[in-house]
Amino acid sequence: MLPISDYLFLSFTLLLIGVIGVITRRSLVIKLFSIEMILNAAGINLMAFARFFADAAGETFAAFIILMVVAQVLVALAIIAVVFTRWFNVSTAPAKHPEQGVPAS
Amino acid sequence: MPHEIIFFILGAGAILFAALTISARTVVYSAICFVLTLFATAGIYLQLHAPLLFAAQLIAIFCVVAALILFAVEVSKLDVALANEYHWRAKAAAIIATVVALLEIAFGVAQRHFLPGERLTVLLPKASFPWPLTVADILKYFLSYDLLPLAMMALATVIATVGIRAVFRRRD
Repeated sequence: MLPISDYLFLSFTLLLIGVIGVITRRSLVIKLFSIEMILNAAGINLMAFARFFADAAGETFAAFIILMVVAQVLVALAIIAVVFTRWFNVSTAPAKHPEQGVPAS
Repeated sequence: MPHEIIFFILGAGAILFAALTISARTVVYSAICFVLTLFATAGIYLQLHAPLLFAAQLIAIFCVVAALILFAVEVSKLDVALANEYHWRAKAAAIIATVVALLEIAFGVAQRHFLPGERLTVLLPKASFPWPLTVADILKYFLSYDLLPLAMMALATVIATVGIRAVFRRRD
């Protein structure tokens, strides 16, 4: 097995990229993908430590994380689609134009 | 050796596609890069001898692709709606992500060559953690040789990102 620090570096990089995406981007969908990346990083970390300790608990938690990612993507995409249909905007920035942010009647 | 090569290829792919995910201008490209990131992660699970997680990740990928196809019309409309998002945001995200990835790789290489050994794995107990953990124990693990550079760099990156975000918001 590779040294555990390699997996830590990889998961840390994915975590930081996810945090940067959440902070810098305005699109809700890209923010959602960034959060999924953070969860993926947590999964890699859990699996690496599970392998290091030869403990199945980490693998179980990683499986739960994957299930959560799937459920989150499905539900969040549905919510974003509904939000877009109603408000014609999925940006987290305040509306600049009068036609943005007005609920559809 | 082949294990290391496979890991580095998959890791580099995961980091590259993750950076492309957050720096893509359109949601469709972002979604494609995100799915490729999930594929690279699935490969890493397989490399860690976790075929169950590999299968679960593949199912997750299929579900994500199915959701994207299901909401394809809405996603294509989102691109139109987000066309007025400033392009420098995507560029800024790409630049910060690239700098972070390069710094991480430099840290990893430097740590391997100049500070050989694995202090964290020596510090960690093989059986189970003593419970409850004291503050001294937590500090001992987190300020160890492996985690300290990561923690310092994470702190610096988050501060830089928040600062850049604040500057951009002021420009808006």
